[in-house]
Amino acid sequence: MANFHVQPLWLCLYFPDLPLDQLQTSNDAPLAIAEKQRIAFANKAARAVGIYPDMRLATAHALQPDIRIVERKPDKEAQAVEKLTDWCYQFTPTVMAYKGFSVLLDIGGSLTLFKGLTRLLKQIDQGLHYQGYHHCKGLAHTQEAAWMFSRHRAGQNETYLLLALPNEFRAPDPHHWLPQLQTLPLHYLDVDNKKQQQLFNMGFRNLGDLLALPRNELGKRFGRELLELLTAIVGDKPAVNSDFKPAQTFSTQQDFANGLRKLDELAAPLEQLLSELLRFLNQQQLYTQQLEWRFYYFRQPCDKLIIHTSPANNNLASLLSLSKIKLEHYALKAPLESLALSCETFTQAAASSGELFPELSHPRNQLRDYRQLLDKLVTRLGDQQLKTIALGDEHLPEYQQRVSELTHQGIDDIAFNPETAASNNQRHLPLWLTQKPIPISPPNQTSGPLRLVYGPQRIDSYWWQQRCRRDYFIARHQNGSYCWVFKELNEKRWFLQGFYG
Amino acid sequence: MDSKLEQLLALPNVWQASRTRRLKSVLSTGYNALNGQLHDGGWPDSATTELLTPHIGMGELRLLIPGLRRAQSQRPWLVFIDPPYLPYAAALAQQAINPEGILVITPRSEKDLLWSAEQTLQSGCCGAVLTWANAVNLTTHQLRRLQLAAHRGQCWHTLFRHPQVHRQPSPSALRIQLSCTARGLLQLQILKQRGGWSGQTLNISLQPDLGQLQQLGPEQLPLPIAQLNHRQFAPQADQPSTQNNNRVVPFIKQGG
Repeated sequence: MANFHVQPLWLCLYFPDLPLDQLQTSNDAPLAIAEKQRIAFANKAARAVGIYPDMRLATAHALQPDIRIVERKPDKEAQAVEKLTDWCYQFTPTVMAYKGFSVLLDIGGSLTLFKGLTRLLKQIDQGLHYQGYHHCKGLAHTQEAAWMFSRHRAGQNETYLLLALPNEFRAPDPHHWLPQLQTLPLHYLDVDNKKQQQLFNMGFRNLGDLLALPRNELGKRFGRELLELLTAIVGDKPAVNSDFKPAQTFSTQQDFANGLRKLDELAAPLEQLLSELLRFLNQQQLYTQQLEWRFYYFRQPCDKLIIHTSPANNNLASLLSLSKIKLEHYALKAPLESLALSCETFTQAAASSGELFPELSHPRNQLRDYRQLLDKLVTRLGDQQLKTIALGDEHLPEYQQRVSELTHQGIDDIAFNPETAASNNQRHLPLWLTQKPIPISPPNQTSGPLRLVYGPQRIDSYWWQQRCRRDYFIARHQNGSYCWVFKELNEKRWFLQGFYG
Repeated sequence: MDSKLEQLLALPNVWQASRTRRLKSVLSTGYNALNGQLHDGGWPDSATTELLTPHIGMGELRLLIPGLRRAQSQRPWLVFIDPPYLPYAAALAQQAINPEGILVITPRSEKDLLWSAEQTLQSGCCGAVLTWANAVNLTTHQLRRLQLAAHRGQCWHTLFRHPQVHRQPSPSALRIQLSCTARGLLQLQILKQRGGWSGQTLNISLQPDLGQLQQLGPEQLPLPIAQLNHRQFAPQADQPSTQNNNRVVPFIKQGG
């Protein structure tokens, strides 16, 4: 029987040590996060000396005098969960942040795309490991059950065989999960402590004990909430879920608990933040044209560095090297508290497709290379140091020459026409042009450095404004070079305007 | 004597250094006389060519124009780093070089100059890079880095330097000292070239050849100011060009 309906398969990623992972410090030094004068989270080194959550700060200090205590920041934690949710969007469109520090993904439809559950989980593992987050996974047919499994796994501290499926590429039927659910300890049920105690006192030890009882009687004794929870776990009623919609602007941040003092140490955070940006761009099929680095200091105003970039440079290596070039001239004012990367202007990426005959596509790659080069040059030298010239439609040489600073919008417009209108007029023009005519003393044919050798050629223009009449000559300097000079006929003064280079 | 020598040379077991096949890729200079004097037969592609120029306006750019034209036909971008003046778009278009492919970089410091030269050279997408380093004292180490960058990016690099550095040892593939002759020709003295002897000297007439122009005689000079003032109010002042052209020495036609 062809079954086109895809069974939901919920993967819960639970991050038990999220506030600790966020600080990105090594596990060797004892570190704890405190809330209301009590330990909320303790890292491995701290736990090794007997510091556990819910302990008083004074006790912790007594156990380990040099322990570092950091105040808990709930808003930062929420941001991290949001970031992780964003990150998970690459695996499935149905993603949501869930209770505690967990993210739920419906991967039922993604199994084939990612070539099986094992590979998908491996990819998630690698990505999270790279970002420095410890996590526990739970897999089930409902959100609540997946969440419970992930909590259970975190508590177990051992491999728990719930991540295997009969078929790697298809979510199993709901009854596949029942045996596992029934053995799940009630400890992981999301109810308050009072109710937990009540259930324990009545002799319920695992979920199976509870599920075996008639629901009506259970509801009378423990209330509607528990009934709804059980329904959500078992999945008798489809859960209403709101799909996560990824953000349209990008911003991310990395904090340095100890403060960062040297620019060299920025290399790794730069790379990590940029790869986050690129993943976002890839998901959204966007290109960025401008990104902004912000440097937050402990007691100083924050600094901004803006980097312009072109679509050709939307890859990790280029963005990283552009950022490093920009940073070459930057000095940290004080220990850096956090580094933020944000990006608000995007352009839609044209879907890039491979060439049929890649060997014929050489010029395109050159164009891409050239844009990358320009980005690099602009980043280090600034816009004003790069100029392009173009032929204008004017008579006076200084107006005919259109000099423009290289702007990023302009790069795409370079049209190649090797057969540019090679003007066929017989005038001999110098290859070097002074930007403004330079006043000179009148050339004398018998003495002085300049001798006129050719001319005059007259330009008579701008009669509608200040009339401009000039007689142009080619003059030879005594050192052998040829110059382009003219006599302004209105003011009867001589000017130098170019060199025959 | 000659015939005997030729007979000897014709023997297949006689090896002659100057007749070895050159496999180096080169860019024809566009001047047969110069191609003939260079062992590789053209500008060394993917290497640095040093031109020692005492001042500008002697034809240093006209010398390169045929090569630039060829280079631009392969890769459209030509980079001018720290040129003394801006290149004149109209004159370039006249020489069939697309001025829109030219990027002028005006670095603020010597460090930036070397950095931009190295980046553009090794990017591998520029047809040619021209660097004016007349005011900069480059060390041999810096020259070697530029030479290596040109090699990596397979880019033709022309480096303009002041003639006073001609004694400094240089890793550049080709070094030519330029000077003007009294007749207005460009004199090239090859100080160093790869693959053989150097020391060749030759005179080249460039296109357009300004050396053919003679000093204007008194009758060809512009009219005295008093007369100009008078003509300004004359009715035929609107067509001064035809009158002027009559007084001009016929100019050597382009390409002639």
